[in-house]
Amino acid sequence: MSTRQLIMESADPALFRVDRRIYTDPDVFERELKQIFERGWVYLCHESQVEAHGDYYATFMGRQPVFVIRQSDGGIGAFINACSHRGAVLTPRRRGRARTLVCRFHGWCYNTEGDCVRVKDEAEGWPDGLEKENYGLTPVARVGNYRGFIFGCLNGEVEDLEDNLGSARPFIDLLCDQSPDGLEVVPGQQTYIIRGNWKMQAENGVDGYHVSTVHRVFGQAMGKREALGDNAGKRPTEAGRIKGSVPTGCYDIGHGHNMIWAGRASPKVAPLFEAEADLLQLFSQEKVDWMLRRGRNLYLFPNVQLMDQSSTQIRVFRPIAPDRTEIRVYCIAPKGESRTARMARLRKFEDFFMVTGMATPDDLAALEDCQIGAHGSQARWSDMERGMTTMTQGPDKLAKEIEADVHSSAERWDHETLYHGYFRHWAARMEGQVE
Amino acid sequence: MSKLCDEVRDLLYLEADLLDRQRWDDWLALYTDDCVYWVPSWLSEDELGDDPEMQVNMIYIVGKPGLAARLHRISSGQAYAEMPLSQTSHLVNTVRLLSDDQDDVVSASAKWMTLSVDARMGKQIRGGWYEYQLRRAGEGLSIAAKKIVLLEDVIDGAVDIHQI
Repeated sequence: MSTRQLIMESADPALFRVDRRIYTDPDVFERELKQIFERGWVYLCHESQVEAHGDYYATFMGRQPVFVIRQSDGGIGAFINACSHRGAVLTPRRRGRARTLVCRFHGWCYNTEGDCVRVKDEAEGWPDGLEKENYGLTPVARVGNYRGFIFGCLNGEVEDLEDNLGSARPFIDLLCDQSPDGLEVVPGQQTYIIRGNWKMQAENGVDGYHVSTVHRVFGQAMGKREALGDNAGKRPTEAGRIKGSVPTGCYDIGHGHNMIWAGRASPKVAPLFEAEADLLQLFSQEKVDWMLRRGRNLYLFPNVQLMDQSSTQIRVFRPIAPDRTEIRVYCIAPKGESRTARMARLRKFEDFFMVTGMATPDDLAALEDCQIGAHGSQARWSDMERGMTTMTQGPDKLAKEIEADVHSSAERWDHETLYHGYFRHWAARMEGQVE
Repeated sequence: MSKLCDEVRDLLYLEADLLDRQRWDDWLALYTDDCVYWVPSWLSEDELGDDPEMQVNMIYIVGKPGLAARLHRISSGQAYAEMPLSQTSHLVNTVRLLSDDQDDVVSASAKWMTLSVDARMGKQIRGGWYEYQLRRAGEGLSIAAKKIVLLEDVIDGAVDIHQI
């Protein structure tokens, strides 16, 4: 089946639908791993997670195990996570520090540049002797660092990371510019498994339309907590966003990236607000307004979301099967913020973004129900037409303020036009038309 | 077994039973107003969080209103993930006193395992251990602090406070 047949679209009549088989079909899934996750740029980790020489971070690109490592010259490398000898994974942990990676199977050793530096009993047994130089680790073809966010690509013939991120860069900058010292991933994390396709997660994270239904109960719970007199670092910011009483919007950014935003009802209680005066020294009022007065969920195709709203989150996903996805979430924060701000950020993170919190479990349940529904193949099409007749081609005024040359803009975050470029990009990648 | 150990064990069993019977208000009444309810996250595969204020926790609630908000969510019938509400059975075992009754505060630990049955997730078993700070208030003991260690560092599905 051609991937293009899985999307039905027309301008007149205004129509945009996707075939629900894209979430369930094993052939589609296999093709995604090959064409998207093992051929294009994918997010790996943040540089603060591999801070010192020998710090490593193990993850996957599609099905291929890889690790990212801080090298002796301070650069960041990435390798297929398999010993050159018999293929055993070299990292005992998801994160750790090892200036020499020792394979625990037969004891072969590698330095942080991926060179094989020791082979047990090297002198005997090999028919023609053994040249260690020929047994280095296989590098990930391309590693890119955009302002601390590390991406990799298993295909050397790919456009540069900066070009791939394209007009998403000004939105990433809104996070990176929050501290002159940069950002750091805060200790503590959560990894969870969802019974849903990876695209369900991609779409849910930038779906403004579900907030006032799925998260209404979160708003109520917050209201109850505040009414009972709680203010232990958890200052109110949620109500307006959830009720829909603040300005909102969404962008189809291009290259499959997209974003929703919503005005903060009470920006002064956001953890970053303490930095307002410093930020205004460095950046325009318009840019600082974007940083302080609008919460944003940014999706970078294919596998990461950067959230900056009640708290700040990196959410990374890994496809495991058509109906299984592993999610890792981290709190990312400006270095050097006050203890009070950090605590408020963390408590809000726990409230909303954890699978042990009060909102994420409901997101999971909703997307898992969509996964079940997607098997109803006689009801074939999902509808994504909301906003088609009111959208703006190109950037709106707010996007222009930070020179974000997005593909299309919408004045409401509960419109669905932001998915159109994502699906078109997805289809083109599946067909090998773009890298 | 000492009388104090019996008293502590009875309280822990009661707490677990109130959760399983979904008697939320009675459960909440076991806690002090300034209670701390803490489920640390795993910093790595085998290293548990130890600084709740400055790290990401699975749950970190200080004060009863935070617990009341959690109860509101699961008991409202409006939380997508908890409608219908999962049914649970807690097994609490190996209750140990970690301190005597000093200045009306008792430390204790116990092991737990919970079977949850849920329409979406089916049967799930989770487990770990508890650490309590109990405070004598009038005749009985109240829960001033509860730390719940959840052994899973990769969580299959979602977890709420009646399931741990």
